[in-house]
Amino acid sequence: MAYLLEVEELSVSFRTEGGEITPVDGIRIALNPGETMCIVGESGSGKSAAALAILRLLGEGGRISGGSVRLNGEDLVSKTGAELRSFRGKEVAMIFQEPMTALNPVLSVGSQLIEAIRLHSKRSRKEARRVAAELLRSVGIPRPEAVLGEYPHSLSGGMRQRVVIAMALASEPKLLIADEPTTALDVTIQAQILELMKRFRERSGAAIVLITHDLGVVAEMADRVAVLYAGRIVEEADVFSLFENPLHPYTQGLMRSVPSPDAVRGQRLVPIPGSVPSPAAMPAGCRFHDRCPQADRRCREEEPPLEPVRAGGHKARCWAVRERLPATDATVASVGGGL
Amino acid sequence: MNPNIQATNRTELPEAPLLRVENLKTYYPLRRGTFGRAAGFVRAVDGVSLDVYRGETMGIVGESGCGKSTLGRTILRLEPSREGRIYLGGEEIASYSQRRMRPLRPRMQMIFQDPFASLNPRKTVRDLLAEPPIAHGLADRRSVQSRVGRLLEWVGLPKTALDRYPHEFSGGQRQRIGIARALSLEPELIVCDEPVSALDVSVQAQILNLLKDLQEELKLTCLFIAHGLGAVSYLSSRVAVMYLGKIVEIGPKEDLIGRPLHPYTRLLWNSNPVSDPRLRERDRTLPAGDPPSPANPPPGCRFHPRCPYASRKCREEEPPLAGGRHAVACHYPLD
Repeated sequence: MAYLLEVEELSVSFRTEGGEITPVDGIRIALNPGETMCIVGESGSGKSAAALAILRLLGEGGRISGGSVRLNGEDLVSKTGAELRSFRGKEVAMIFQEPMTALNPVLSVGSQLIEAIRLHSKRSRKEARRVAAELLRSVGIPRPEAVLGEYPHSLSGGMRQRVVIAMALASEPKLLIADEPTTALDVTIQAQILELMKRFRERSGAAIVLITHDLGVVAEMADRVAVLYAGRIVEEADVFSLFENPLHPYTQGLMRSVPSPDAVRGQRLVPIPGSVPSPAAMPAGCRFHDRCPQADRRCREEEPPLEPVRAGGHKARCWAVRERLPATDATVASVGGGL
Repeated sequence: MNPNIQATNRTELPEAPLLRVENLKTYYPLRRGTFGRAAGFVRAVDGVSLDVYRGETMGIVGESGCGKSTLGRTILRLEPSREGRIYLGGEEIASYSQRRMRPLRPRMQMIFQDPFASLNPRKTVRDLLAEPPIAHGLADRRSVQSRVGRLLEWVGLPKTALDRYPHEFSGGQRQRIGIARALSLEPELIVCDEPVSALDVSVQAQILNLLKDLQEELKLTCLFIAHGLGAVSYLSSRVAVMYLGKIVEIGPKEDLIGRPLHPYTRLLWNSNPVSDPRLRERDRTLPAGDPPSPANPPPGCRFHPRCPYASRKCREEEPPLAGGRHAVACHYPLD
């Protein structure tokens, strides 16, 4: 089967006062139709820059400095502005952390939604209005007719994010990119929005790239997971394999850093020492080495490749993992691990 | 306050509480029109009673707008209360003027969510840590230096940090400075308001562990306010759940998490994402809709519009917070 989204060796660079930095450095993502991939990372991992680059939405000073992005086989990197506009919104929709970045504060919810609907299908205004109300109802907004006449600022954060999701649904995209869509929301609203995204996925068969720092959100949503650290994918696996058997010391560290309400009493968190490196000063060798309890000389000098280390396409970028797992295992994995 | 709660608490924890809050209310006027007439109130905290004993950490959880931060700030007298009493070590302080509060300030300190916003960017770490004790007459310029050194050690910062400015530090280290500053006055009570929410996951764990160690070594008494259940349960021995300005359930952590009595508490726990993908197909009920506005709380039980079990009684009559050590404000508590 052909991939819906194929990102190859994507690098993103930004001009800064101190020179050019590369917060995303050679990432590969391949996504099947209907699949949900979570990209997990902390601030500074490059996860948001990667999402913006896929949509060619990098702002002033940012550019794709290497690699390719193909959606349905079409290369997005070489597209012109006009070609991109019809592509976005039709094939791809995006949800951001802050819904107000996607909503126009001086237009009513209805006029924005109706515009989005009419942009993608030939419908009369009246017909589009009916579809708009239907969409609002489907995302759990009470009194949809009344909300159509309201302005974004009069809605709560959760309601705004629902409106943004309704707008994303309006175009019936094949791919939804969601960048921390629930981070600004309360847990009860987060749970509702995640349920909504699951329903949307089931109904539309769309693929989702979900960017998050929250392993709980990953556990709820992902089919596959890519763990991003300092601009590099350090581990990639299907979600069950990742949670059952995290291999990269960074992934292991993240998992031990999260306090669980039902944890055994007195069980202590094991934090990762230090903090994420600045993209202006990436460490040599493995980018995680200065925070890694297992780092040795080789880790400090030579960067490990991202390689399959277990069956099922479980990949890790770590010398220690490579040594620990027998080579035969890795060979089997690389044969069967194409997914 | 419900007499039952006091009675039971007193038998099990015989000493008097360090902090006692009785029927505390904090209202903000809603101003409308050109002349800003008060057109009603936002009832941010609306009749909260609780006791915090020496050496314990009381967690306060709830969604944004439930009044948890306002409660913390009102207890510290950073917000004016409208009604109710606050006792610190038996002394009623809600009625004190700011002048009369001043000598009490060192006894109660706060750790903020955003350490950058709460630290003066023009001051070195040395100044940030030395000034509070000097200003309150707890140390002089000479004796304060050993105190500052000890604070750095407690929070795990190197001596080289002393002559640097807040912006030179990462978020996690800045929070360490914020914690050291709160400790610089050797307070009896510390209110932590979402102290790790602004930090990266890997750094959150560092700060949570630091707070846990300090709790044990310094026998701190804390009010730990957070929206994340994980962090609250990691540090607290007792937990209170707030909804629209009121405590709806309070009790020992294990009971609240393992056997919640209020439907809201259970729905809040249900809303937490799973920690393992194998659990994600679980059957769960989620609360419907958004929390209503605290300017116009619903009559009866404030949770009834979102509650799957609400009856007519819930719509009309407000349930009191009742029970022993594990108390709940619900007409039909779960079992």
